Amino acid sequence: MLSRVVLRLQGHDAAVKAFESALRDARLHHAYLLTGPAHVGKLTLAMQIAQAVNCLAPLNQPCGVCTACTRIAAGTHADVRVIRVDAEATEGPKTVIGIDSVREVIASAHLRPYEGRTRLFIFDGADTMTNDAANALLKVLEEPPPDVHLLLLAPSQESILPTITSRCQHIDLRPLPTRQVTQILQADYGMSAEQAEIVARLSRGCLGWAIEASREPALLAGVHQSLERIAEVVEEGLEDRFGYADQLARRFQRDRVAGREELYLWLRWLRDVLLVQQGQADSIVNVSWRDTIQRHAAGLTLAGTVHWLHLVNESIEALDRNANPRLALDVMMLEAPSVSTP
Amino acid sequence: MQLNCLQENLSHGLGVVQRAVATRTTLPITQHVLMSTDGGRLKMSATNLEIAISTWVGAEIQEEGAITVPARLLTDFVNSLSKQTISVTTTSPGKGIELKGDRVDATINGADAAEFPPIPSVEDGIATRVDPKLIREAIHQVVLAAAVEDSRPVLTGVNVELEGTSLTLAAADGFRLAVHKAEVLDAVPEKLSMIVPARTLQEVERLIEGDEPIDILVTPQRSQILFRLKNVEIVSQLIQGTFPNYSQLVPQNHTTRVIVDLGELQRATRTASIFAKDGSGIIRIQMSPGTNGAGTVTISSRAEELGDNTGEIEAEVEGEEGKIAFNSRYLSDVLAVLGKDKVAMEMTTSSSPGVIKPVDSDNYIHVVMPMFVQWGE
Repeated sequence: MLSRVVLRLQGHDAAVKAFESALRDARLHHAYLLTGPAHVGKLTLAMQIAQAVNCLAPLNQPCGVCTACTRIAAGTHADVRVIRVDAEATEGPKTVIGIDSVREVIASAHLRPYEGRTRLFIFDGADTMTNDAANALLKVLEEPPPDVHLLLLAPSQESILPTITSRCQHIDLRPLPTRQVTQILQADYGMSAEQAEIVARLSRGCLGWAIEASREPALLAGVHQSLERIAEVVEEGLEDRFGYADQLARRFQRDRVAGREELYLWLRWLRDVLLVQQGQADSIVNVSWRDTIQRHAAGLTLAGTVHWLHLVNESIEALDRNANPRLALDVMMLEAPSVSTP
Repeated sequence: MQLNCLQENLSHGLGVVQRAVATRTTLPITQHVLMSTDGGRLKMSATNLEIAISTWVGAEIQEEGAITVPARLLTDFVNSLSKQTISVTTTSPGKGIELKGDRVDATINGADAAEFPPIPSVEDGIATRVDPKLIREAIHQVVLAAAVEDSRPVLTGVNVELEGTSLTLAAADGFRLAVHKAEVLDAVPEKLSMIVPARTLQEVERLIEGDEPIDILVTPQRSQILFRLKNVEIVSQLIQGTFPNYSQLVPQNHTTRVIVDLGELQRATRTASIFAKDGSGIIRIQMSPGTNGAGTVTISSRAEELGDNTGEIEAEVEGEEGKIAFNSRYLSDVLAVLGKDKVAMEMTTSSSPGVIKPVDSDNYIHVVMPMFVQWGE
């Protein structure tokens, strides 16, 4: 039993409280499913739990400074393993957690902890597990060896097989209110009020993204560039739109994640247009583009915007199923409504 | 860290720890070997988080220190050199090493020793000693029956039981069971039962040399076991879980017992297994009693469409006539580790497990599940 547990995590008060009391009473479940959008803080919470159960400090676990805590934070602790899609794998599919990773987990789960008190397996992106991998994991989820805990992180409960979710305690992490993100950025990351507001809105309540953006100006600049292109392409004719589709398709082939991000920016842009069309201009995300968005809102019909949103969603789905990027994006551009400019 | 070390010593040490170096891993540092100075010698350690091997080799230490470097690269480099003295110096702290020999010079990038998983040290706990020859034979005769990659991880281990001075090793994979009983030199204060990964015991078997007794230590929390050999320490995590209660699987009686020459049986099995490659590797054994205890054992196998084979060996057959079929690999595996001149086979019916054991000692028993076949007349 841990003497006192204080997780260092901003926001998610309910989840933090639940874990703190579970840790304090040594009632930590064998398996949890943590859901929430990317960068919302799932992994941060999971790492804090990992530190709490292995921390060497006598009080106020996790201390964050003992060798166990620092090794866990550095990813070198032998008993805390983060399993994620192995993008550098030389063979096999690079977009899934395969059965081999799960078999390794099962084998090491049955060994006693190596250096700490508790073995923890964190599946970052449990939704990318293949069905075979998920089914292989059921056995450990069902009868886990003592001192073994599994934390599954995924965007939503629906993205996980029901046989898995039914064996886990489900905890949902919601995006933080924009105001809270703004405050944290100002207080802890030295951002100006104006900058913090812009980043907080762009982060959509995902503190992790906001913090990354505060450390990495290039990230914001990249978003800005993409938005600039999107703002232009919306108003351009078919020829220029195809030119853009070609560019994006190439980017997508080089870097799937970046390509996907840009499509999400499209979704957000069109959502803003929709909000303005519905008279909700205050809630838009891309505040620094207010004028352009208003112009687009005027130039598109409501049905046109909705149709376009569907098109973007469909291309994301098609690309996730490994469609040809150039074709998928061309189709999206071909069917997209044109914007009448005054 | 700065030291001089003979190429043979380095090469030998790396060879010892090599098997504990992780091959495919989520923790890249486990592919490194930890080099540190310890009591005037060079200590080399490697771990794959299941088994950790440390060894000490003679070296002339000029400056204490520790560093980790990729094991594969260092081993390949050292093994490519001729016999000579090699000086090992850490470059800037935690960055790597420079190796200098006769007109040869190399730098290998590494990582800070503090990043290396701590090599478990077992200081106190339940301790005993065992004769190296005895434990080596015990491991040799048992590990073959352990499961390789099984969905039931306990079966990938060997159940090790200590009670008083008796040591029992047992392994099973669902088709066969091997049990070996031996004696330890010091009685243990309480009964101990644990599951040691088969790979660990294979390493112990590989690294045993000389006649000095081997120290065995189990941590008080029963989480690790240590084997202390001459200049080598092997620490292994234990497998969690309960080993199946195997004593009820060992047949208590038999209706047919044969005693045959091991070499002849091995040869006949080898011949039969050529034809048994097809058809699930089935080889049939027929035990026919003759007069005055003499008799014959007929070993046959058949491959559909290819042909068949029958071999006959003389044997002492007691009891009724018996027929049983085994997987050829299971039979040849156990015959290969018996190491005695005469072997006894015992059985009841063709659907009950068969027993194979040495004739003159009770310390080893091997049980094999039979295969179901149609016994035509």
